[in-house]
Amino acid sequence: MECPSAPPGWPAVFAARARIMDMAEHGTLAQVLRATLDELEELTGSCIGFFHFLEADQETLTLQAWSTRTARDFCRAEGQGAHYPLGRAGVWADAVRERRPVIHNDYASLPFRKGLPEGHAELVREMVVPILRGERIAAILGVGNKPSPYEGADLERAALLADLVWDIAESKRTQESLRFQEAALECSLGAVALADPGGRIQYVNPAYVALRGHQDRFRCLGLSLWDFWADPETAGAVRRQLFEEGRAAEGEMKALRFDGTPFDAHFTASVARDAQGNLLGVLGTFLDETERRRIEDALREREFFFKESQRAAAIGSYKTDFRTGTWRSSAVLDRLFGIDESYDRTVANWLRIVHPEDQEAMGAYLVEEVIGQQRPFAREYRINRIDDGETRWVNGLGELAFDPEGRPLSMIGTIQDITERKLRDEELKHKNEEMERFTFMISHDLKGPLVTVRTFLGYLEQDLASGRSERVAKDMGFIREATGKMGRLLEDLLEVSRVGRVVNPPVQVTIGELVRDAVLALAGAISSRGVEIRAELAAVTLHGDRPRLEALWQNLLENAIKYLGDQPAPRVELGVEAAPAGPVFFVRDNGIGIDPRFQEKIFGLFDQLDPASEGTGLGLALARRIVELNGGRIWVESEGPGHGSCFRFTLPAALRPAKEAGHER
Amino acid sequence: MKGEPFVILLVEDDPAHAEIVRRNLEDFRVANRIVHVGDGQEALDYLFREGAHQGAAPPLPGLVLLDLRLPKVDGLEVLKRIKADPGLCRIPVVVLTTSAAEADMARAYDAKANSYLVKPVDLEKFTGLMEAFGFYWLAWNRYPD
Repeated sequence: MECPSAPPGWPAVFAARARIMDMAEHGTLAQVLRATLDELEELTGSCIGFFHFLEADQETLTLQAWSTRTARDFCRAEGQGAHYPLGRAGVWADAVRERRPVIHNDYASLPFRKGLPEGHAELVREMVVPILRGERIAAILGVGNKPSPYEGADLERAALLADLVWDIAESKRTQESLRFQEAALECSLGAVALADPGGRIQYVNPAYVALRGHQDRFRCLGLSLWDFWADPETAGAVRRQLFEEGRAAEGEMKALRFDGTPFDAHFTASVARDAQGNLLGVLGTFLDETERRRIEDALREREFFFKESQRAAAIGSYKTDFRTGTWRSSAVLDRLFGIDESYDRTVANWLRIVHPEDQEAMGAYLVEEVIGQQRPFAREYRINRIDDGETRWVNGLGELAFDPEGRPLSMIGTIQDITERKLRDEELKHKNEEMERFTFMISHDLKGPLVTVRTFLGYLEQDLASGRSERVAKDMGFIREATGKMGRLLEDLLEVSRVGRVVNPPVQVTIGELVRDAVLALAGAISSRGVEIRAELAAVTLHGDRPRLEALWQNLLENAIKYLGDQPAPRVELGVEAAPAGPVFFVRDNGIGIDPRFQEKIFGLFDQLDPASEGTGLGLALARRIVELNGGRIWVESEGPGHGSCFRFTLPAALRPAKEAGHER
Repeated sequence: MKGEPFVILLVEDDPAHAEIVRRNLEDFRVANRIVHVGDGQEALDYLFREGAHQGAAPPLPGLVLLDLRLPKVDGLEVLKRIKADPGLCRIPVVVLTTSAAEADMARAYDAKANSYLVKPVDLEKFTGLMEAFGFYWLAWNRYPD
């Protein structure tokens, strides 16, 4: 280390002071402090320089600056602004404790020198000068490691710089603090006005200018602060509270813009006093309530519409957190899932809501496709509502967020109840299938007899022309048969079309009543064939088109009776069984049974297993049509010929009150 | 056609239509070798020697005249079973049906029907059709042994 050897003379001290004052003009406090320490180092031939403020408590030293050289060559200790309690500072702080300048020319040999902060410059000798302001020590200024011992002249030089630097430092500190406060006021979004005790405005910030509707702030200056109040009486009350009761005021106000437009504002008003308690002026702050309320209203409105539209469209929303494995749900989603607050919203419990038949596929979809391949969630699936167990169709959508390693973080999305749409789709599909069956039927069944009639009419002509009278009767027999069949087909066709077309207003009817009517209608056939009828019916109430529901039971009972075969003890049972998805109705007989291979075909329009049997094959087709109109399914169970048959069907739409059976028409 | 009698299997549920076919084929001297079955199941039983035909060895038909709309088992199903069986698949199957619906035709050809004929609604035309059918399938057409 190279230190200046000879201390310069007094002119050098004044030149240094001049340079410091020069720097004070434009430099920051930190720059001035550092320059002062550098100058003092130079003047005293020291290698180290430091400056500490002593806080008002006279207990805490705040390191404010190092000299350039100290910072560069010696000291790697804690930086600027670090605080130490006085008690922990080393002997270098003796100047504070003893309230006078101190010189330690043999620092290393001092007892109780305590530590210096870690990384601190190694001190050989030092000189520390306290800067006293009244009774209070404001700061200490120190230099160290002069090659020769410090003496009185060094102290005098230090004192000359110390006084100067304190004056500069104090005004700089105040200036900087004021600049900061002003900047804060200027940038504040709240409108601020400062007025003298008479209420004449001395300062306003830009927010005030904007709120008041002025062109620029200079027009505001000198005006009365109280003019902002639309109602002079309220302004007067605020004034009285401030000046007479000595309390700050706060509240809502009707405010006036400069052009006279009133608006709602929130204000605070307080008086400012100096340390001696002299009234300096009035401080007013103002916030535009109109804007705040407008934003609040808009937000409330938007939220309302959002909630309403979600409710109306039955769209629920959720957020899943994959780190905790839980999800949150909107009120609409809760209703859709049939859950309340107590439901444990875990991913596993979402899967539990999914219809049992879809659970495996949905679990695999979530894990493999959505999470594994980072695809958005988009699936239609079935759920079983928790509260009433009803099966509903939902459309689930969701967007995922992943961490950089590709682990899922969260998923946000919506779930919409699409049951009605699904039912309509399903119904449309059925309608199309039926239309196809109908076309097929027309082109085969109705055209067939026509072919017969026309062809045998031709044969009749030939018979008559060639005198083959023995064939006439036979040919006419074919014609009679064909026209008869055609007539029956046409009647049945009308019946089928009527079932789809004619709607009777839905009524409430028990299956007991329906079965009783069906048995009555077929009483003749039942007694002539000696059929034992067993009807064990739980009290199930249906809502629907009564004539249609009657026709359903009647057709199934008629079918059962027709195919009893030569059963010596013919029996037909009618009833209902409980099943997880709702009641299943049945008509069971001990008749000829049905080969499993033909069990689907029997429900086709005009499909008959036995062409020789009477009728056209309409009954079961009609039954199926009625069941499908009620959103249900019909099927037959039979172990084969000779083992009897059991027709089972469901009527989900007829189990709900009429207004909910939306697809019933 | 050598040695074994040439049998036509007529699968037709409407007795009147079966009668028309039989009368029209009289001239071709095959009328007595027409085997008539009334539904699809019976046709399969005959062809596969099952059910009522179990254990029997009736001559396999040289040609099948098949209606589409049949009780128990549909004509289309019968057609598929024939064409899927290595022992039967070469037997020509001529569909003879009332349906002129495009969909029926497409399904029949998809199932490898060899010909598709629509029953005319007029004796003269029916007779003309059966004559042409007889000449084509019973005189001109060559069958593998």
